[in-house]
Amino acid sequence: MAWQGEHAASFGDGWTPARPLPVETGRPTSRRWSGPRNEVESASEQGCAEESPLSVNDPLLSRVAQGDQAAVSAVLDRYGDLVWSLAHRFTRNRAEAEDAVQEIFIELWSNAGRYDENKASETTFVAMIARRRLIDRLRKSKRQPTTEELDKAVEVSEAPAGVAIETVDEAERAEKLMEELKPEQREAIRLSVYYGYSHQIISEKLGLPLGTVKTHIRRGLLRIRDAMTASRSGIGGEAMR
Amino acid sequence: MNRDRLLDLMTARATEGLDSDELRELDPMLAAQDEFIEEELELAAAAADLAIQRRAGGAEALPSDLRAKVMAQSAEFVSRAKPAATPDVVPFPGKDAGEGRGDKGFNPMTWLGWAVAAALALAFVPWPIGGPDQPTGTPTEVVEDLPPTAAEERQFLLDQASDVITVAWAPPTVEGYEGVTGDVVWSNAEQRGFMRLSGLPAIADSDDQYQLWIVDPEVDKHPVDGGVFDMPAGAGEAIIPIDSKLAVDSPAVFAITREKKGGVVVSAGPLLVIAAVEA
Repeated sequence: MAWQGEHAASFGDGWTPARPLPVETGRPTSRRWSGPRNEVESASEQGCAEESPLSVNDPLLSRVAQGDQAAVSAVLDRYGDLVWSLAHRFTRNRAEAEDAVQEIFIELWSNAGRYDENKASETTFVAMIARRRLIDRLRKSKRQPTTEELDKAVEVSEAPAGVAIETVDEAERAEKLMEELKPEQREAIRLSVYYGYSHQIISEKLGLPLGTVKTHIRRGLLRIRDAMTASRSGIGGEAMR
Repeated sequence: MNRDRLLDLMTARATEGLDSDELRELDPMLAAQDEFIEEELELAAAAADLAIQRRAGGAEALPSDLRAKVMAQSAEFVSRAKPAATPDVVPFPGKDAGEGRGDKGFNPMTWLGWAVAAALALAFVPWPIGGPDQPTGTPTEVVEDLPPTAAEERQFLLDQASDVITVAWAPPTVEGYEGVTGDVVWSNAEQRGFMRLSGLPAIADSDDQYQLWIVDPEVDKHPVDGGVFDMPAGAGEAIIPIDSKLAVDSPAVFAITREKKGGVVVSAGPLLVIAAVEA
């Protein structure tokens, strides 16, 4: 089934200028994102804090689970851009993305108590909750991307080389690890995880057996999982090798 | 336990979701081993997604108008989360471990029970199938700058959806649930719907939640998970959005069970409240 109507628009339609990913919090400073550090401060400036003031280093989800109103609003300030980016990319439709974002935040606030810092960073947990909801929506809508969209995704598969990665955040570790994957593994993960294409479609587009595509994705995710586990156990970058 | 199969399912769940049969297969496999933790490949996929996004230029700015909507939503969420402010129209909570895993269903062995229940319900109740002129629920009150309430959204669906159906709950027979009344509205075109419930016993303070199931034989041989929800003490009439995990094209029965918090993949029932759609 082809995308219809707005779904046939290119990925670039309506996208606003890129912004850095949210500042990571809730972990020791050595595990923090290196991006801008004013995300949560802006929440306080907007008057959402009714409890004790939040700083950029504060974990939020545990406070949300305790009913901290300031933290509920701060989650939006800290992760709003991330959730919007995911929703817009998965839905390819602004109206649907807006609906999805509202659903995701309700779900995030409701499930904040499930966050376990021993398993993943708060940002990764937020992204996982968002992805679940978006995958659900994709399945419910029975949508399939057009060949043109997939062609475009494949065409832009070559990421810029030479990106310096010196910090130790989970996403950065994953980025470094993905560079070390075989090109076909990296491509399969990118099309599956980032663009949300089914394994079957990826198989057809890349001309690889379905089982091979599944294996590429599985092995890639397992390597990332191993690296995350090792990192949380204090092994750090060794797991990347 | 087949480790390869387990990893296949976990990988699929992290990337393209699972159908009900696959979910039924995965859960016992996860429970029977200790090498993998539930969700960890989903977390790995999330980390990979973030990594790719960083390379693609980072996150996009949340539109300011949407930010305002969600911020208003947060205020409503907080007010509803406070026990003293529990409204008659309850919010639809998120789910815990089961959330986002696709559709869920009953054990096939219980399918016969569904059919019997639906037949019995149809035998005793004159099921109305309504359009916009059907009962419209609680009066709505528009609050400026707040997102619409469930009651308002239900009313909007009744007013706007040309294919909307309204089905009354059958008089329950399960002890403790005899006084439950209300209805279900559903639109196939919109893939949205709402339950209206009065007299459903409160379980907000327990470890359980109610779970809605939708029987649609044309979509799946198993009932589709319609979402879990709480019923706070003292709530009068509750209007709860339906959160179907699959597209529902021809609903035959809506049924509510009581399950552990977060819902279940396979339910043993009993079916506490049922609404059957007239064929």
